[in-house]
Amino acid sequence: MSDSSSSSDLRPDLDESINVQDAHSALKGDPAAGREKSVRENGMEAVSLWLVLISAIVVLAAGAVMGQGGSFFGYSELVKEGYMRTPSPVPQDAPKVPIAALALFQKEGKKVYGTCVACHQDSGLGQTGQFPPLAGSEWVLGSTEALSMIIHNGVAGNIEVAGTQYNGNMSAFGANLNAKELAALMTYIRTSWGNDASLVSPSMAANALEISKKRGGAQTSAEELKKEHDKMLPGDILAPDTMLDPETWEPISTEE
Amino acid sequence: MDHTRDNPLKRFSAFWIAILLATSFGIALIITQPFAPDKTDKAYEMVSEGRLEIKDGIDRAQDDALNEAALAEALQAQAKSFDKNTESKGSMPVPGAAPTPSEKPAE
Amino acid sequence: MAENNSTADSKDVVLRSSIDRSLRHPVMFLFASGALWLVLSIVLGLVASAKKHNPEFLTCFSWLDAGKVDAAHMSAMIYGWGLQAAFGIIIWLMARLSRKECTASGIILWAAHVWNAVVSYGIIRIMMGEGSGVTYMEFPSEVWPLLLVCYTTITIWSLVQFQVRDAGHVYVSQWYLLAGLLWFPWIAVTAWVFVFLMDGHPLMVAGVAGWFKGTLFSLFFLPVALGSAYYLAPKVTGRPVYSYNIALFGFWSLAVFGPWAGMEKLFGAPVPQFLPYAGAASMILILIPAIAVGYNIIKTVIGNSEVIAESPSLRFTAAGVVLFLAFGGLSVLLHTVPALKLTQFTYTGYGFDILGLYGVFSLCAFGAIYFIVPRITRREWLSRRFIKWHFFCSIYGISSVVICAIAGGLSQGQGIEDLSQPFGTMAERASQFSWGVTLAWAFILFANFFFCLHLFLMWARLGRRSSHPTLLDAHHPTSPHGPEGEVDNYSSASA
Repeated sequence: MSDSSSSSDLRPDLDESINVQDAHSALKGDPAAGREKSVRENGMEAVSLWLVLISAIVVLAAGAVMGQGGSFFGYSELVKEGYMRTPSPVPQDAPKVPIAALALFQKEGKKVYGTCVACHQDSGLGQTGQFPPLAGSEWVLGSTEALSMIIHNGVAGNIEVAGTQYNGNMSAFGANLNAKELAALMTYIRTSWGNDASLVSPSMAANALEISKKRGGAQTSAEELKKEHDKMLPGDILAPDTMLDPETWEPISTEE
Repeated sequence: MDHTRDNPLKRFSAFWIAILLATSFGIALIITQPFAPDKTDKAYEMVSEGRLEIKDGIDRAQDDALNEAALAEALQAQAKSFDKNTESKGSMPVPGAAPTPSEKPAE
Repeated sequence: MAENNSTADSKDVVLRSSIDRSLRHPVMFLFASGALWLVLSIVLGLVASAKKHNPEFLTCFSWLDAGKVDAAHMSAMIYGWGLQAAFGIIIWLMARLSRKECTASGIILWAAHVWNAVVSYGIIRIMMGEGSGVTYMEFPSEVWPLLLVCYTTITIWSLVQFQVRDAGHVYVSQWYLLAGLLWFPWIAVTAWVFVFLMDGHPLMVAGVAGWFKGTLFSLFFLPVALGSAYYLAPKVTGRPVYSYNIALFGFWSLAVFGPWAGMEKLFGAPVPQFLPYAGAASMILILIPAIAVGYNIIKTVIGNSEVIAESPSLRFTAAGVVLFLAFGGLSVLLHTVPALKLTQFTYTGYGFDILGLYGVFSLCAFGAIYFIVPRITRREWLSRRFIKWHFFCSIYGISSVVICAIAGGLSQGQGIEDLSQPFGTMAERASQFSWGVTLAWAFILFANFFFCLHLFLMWARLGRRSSHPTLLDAHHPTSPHGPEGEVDNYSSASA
């Protein structure tokens, strides 16, 4: 026992008498130790059969789990067959609800617009000085052929949009669009953010792609657009409230 | 002390046996480590060799080409004229850049 | 309480008292600092849980980011509270059972201080963002050798005491303590070497880390808790343990099934498939020692309902054993393959871990602390009310945490498995339950704040100087302990 010989007055609780007898006599009075009961020999009850039975059931359950794990210490088996779920396939028999042309094109066009949103912004206002706005832009509201040329081939050089000069360089961001996507995109930008122009139908867009192919792939410029492409695209005109088939985008015959 | 179960020798030996037990697995690991099979993927490593050689070559060439003195000089020159810099027309057009002062139409 | 309890002769009393005196400093320090870490870890747990439903909570403090505070919470609970409480119990219990005084108190106290310093350093590093990211081993890798050295310094004396014990048969608790003392270095050294030292395959590292997580509970915390329960149940009631054979059965089943635990965390990972399944099977098999120990101890104390009602240590220990039974049962349900798949990345694992760490280990540790501290400070607990609050708020809190977390995890799992829903749906399902968890942690904080306060008052020797223990039921006209007396100071005894 570690004995310290400091005076008992200074630390009345921690003093330890060097006199072993005194210390022991003091400890004799330690009530907590005195009233403790001894830990006795354990009882010799046998392991109850119920315990063995329950343990056996638990071992069976564990064994069932183990059994699904392939061969024990089979280090080469890494992926269990059938562990991964395949997502349930989209039900093929969903009823096709006809949808108005404007709504359909806006929905699809907005998806395509995702490529354009980085520069021309969600609000269609672009960035002053850098990217021209689409809202209220005469190039968007005006001739559809010019617009389709811009989208499909890009435009470079000086261009005036809504009273401001821009001297930039737009690549052919829409070069990979098919007719439906192009039509949807053009319709979307022509009918959003306060713009209120006519719809562009897929046949018009198909014609636009033809014109663009004939032209070759070079970037346009404002002069060229004004001189050569300032006309509306030929093609079927689409009214905003025509009901279309949501998958084929064909007008639904109204005889049904 | 008399030869009971509790004597300093017993305590001493118990201490060191306990230390040995506690570190036994570490020791076992150290002993068996050299005998562990080398499970590296030889095919992957062989292919990587070529790739890493090319990478090393490029790194060395780039290090050699890096002219630190000239770089430091250029940065110093820039730093000195920093406050006097104005926009200047570069050789490549920036997409959608604002027109430079010389190109702005007269108000 | 009128069984034929053998009142020990004075030699036994003197031996007990001298053992208690010899290790009062390290054990008291370990318990007190552990209790403080417990409060801190619960506060961190509260913050972590709050961030699950209110991600904007306290984002002004970058050291309280969700990942850091989660890691700090579990690290503080395990290394700050769990291990220190375990050390205190091991030191005292092994000394008592080997009937040897502690000769290395100073060294142990010093090592305990170093342990606290190292854990504090580790937690600060975690909050600075430099944690290792390995579950339950969040401390930066250089901390581990220090922790292992401290562990050895603190516990090796108990092994020596066991070796030089008086001849006689080895009591149940000693099996558990000895096993725990030898298992911990094994799992810690293995984990440290494979995770941090050796340059192994990352999946193997993940596997070993998961194994450490499982075996830390099943091979260290559980044996210490069970050892304490097997000592306190017969001690406080005065009856022998119900069945030696069942105790043997329970111990060896834990020894056989315990080491496989932990890898079920890696279910679905591209590791050899038998490993997670072995882990899941082992966790199912934990029910067997749970039933054995639970049956044994409950049969030991049953019929003596006054003692459970009155004695704080027995009440906590009995609650811990009952929760161990619940743990075992839940383990079977949660580790079947469909349940594992459902709850793999959810809250359920957290709730289950907390049930083990707080519900089983901490409640048994509280029981041991309520028994040990009066003996080493020679004062009795001050406030019956604090103990009752501690007990009931803990029980309420831990049940709520477990139920909310496990139910929340199941709901979360269903959200994850529903592939047609976006991720946000699953998070929303979880956040509803995490409110319950936060509230429950608040209750547990309340409970343990008073426990910590109580313990510190006892540490300052401000407890009741009485020869009667503080019992929870104060309605005894005559005490079974005889007339109440004042505890003498030594100075007055050496007249």
